Amino acid sequence: MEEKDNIEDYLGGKFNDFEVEPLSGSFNAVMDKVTAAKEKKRRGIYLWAGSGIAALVLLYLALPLNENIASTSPDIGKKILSSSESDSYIIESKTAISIEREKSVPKKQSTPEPQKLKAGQTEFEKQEPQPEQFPVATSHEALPKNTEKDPSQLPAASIAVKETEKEPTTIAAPEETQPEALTSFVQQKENSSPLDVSNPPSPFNGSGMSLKADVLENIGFGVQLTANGNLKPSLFDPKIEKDLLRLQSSRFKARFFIGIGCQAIMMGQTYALNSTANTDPIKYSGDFKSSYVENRRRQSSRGTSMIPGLIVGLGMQRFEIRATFGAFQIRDYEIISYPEDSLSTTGFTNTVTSLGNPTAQNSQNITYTTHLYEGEKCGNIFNYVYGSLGINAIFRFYNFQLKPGIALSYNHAVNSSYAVVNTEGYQKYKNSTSYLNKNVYSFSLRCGVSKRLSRLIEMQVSPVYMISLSSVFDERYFLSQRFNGFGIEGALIYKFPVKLGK
Amino acid sequence: MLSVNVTEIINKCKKSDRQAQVVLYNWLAPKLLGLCVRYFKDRSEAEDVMQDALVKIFMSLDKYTYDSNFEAWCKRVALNCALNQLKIKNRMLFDRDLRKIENIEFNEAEVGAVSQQQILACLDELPDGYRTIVNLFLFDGFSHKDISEKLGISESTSRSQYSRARQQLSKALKEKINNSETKLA
Repeated sequence: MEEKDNIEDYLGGKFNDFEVEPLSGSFNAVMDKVTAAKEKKRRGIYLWAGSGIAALVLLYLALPLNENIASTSPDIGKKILSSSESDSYIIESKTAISIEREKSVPKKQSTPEPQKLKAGQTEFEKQEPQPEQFPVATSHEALPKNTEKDPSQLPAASIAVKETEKEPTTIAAPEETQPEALTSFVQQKENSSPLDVSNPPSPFNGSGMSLKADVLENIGFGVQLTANGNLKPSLFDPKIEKDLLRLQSSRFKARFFIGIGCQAIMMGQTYALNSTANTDPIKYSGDFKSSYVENRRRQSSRGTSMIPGLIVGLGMQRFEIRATFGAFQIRDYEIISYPEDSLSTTGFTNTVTSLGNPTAQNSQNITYTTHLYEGEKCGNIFNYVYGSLGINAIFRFYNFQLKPGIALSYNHAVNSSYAVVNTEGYQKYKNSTSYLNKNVYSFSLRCGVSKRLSRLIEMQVSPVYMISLSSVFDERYFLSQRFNGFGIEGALIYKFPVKLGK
Repeated sequence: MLSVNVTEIINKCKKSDRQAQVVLYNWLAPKLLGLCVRYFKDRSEAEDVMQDALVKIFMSLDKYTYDSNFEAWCKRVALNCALNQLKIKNRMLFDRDLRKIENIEFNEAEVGAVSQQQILACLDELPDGYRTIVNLFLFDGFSHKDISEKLGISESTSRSQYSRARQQLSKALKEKINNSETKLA
């Protein structure tokens, strides 16, 4: 050892086998802490697992749109209908549409002969692209004669081959380049309504063209056949369809929105002994800590809090990312009642046994600097500024949207105080809250329903479940006190108009 | 404890066997508390740190790989808890006293007569920073390089602080020895 001479030589080994007997009861304290730590760990695992599953679900909901774009983009003008839904769409709609077609489209007299496969050529490859025609799967002649007897015998790909061979419909093919055609089509769509065969939804799908049914499918809706043979999208608002078309054809595939909202939350509290607290054993002596926590656990303290916020976000077709900023206050009061417990039900009220009882104060050794009397309220006023970041999935039903999602919030405590309010409602004592945790995180689950009020404004109502991830007090305080609650958020959202890309 | 297989006890503790936990606690707690009281003046604070260390040990038994001495591993955990506690409370303030350090010499008979409790009393007279460095260097056998890494200070700071701490400790010890000699006389 360096520098060790004299004193080091003599003292170096003095404490090698030094042992000090711990206080009795220390083992139970250790085991309590171990149990609390294990529970905390388990809760953390559940929370992360839940978040992970929710994120996966959201990802799953967001992905299909992109997959569809990718799969259709190389097949401009020669889309193969292979899904059973699309097949049934052809068969179901053929009769009614053919009536419509008989009126407007001259019928072709002969059906072209089926093409033969060359050596090594697949069914898919033998189709010839027809960029001049926009193939709408509404033709009666689209099906070969033998399939009318037994459509199930015909492979889906064969149906599609026939599709490409049918005569042109009333819809003219866009001769411009794709982006220009897309832009002009969207603008044309915006000026016309409602949707029908003569005014179908966009034939464009991301970077390529596809069938009408496919477009509707992409945006999550089926097709409805009307009595007069027109096609109408079911559960689908033409205004939304126009917006979605704009979104599809815009450069960024997303639109910004801002809004204001307010959550009314019925909050509860969970109490636990803080395992990491370094409490002064004299101040909180004996069983006071445990009995205090147990006493609080027994009571179901509930109170409401209003949480206003400014909302900004980015909306895609299937999901949106949303940030909220604001400030709120929580008043956590206890009503003093002694000598016995009596539960109170107003606001955040907790009854603490003998707290404030002049005859019991000495025995409790609580160092409150003010005297509390029966009926008075004492407690903390927590002020928070917060920022929240969340992601919501979007399901569209007519002009409603269902938006389940998750969010993580950061709440920063500002000027929180401990206060005593006397029976007449006057604040007779106020001081800074000691052991305040300035950084509190919370997690929330929501399932919003929004309704369009106009093209750019929508109203949202979201049931919310919020759980605080950390205590409102810091690690030095013996009590871990976390808020949680159910509530409803109302919000008014303004969506910025989408600009089309070039 | 020596007659009991440590591995067996650890395995039982992993399965939350209460009896095994009691055995492990009874064996470990005095050793860890012996370490903690050297680092903290306040006995209750030392108890708290010892409890925290035991909680960490019980929670981390799965991470113990059996390739090192279990007692040494536990003491390392306790030492880290103690240092963290000192850092959290920002008590690692070091002296910038530039006065010349005088060396106080002892003879073996003098120091041999000093009890552990007397040394602890002398340690209690030192500021937190000095006490920590003396403990780490003198009693726990860490080099100045290790200490500098553990405390986030430079090696030279560790050396200079140790020199001053040793001087204060020597003075206190000398006083204790003189007092006891006076009493005996």
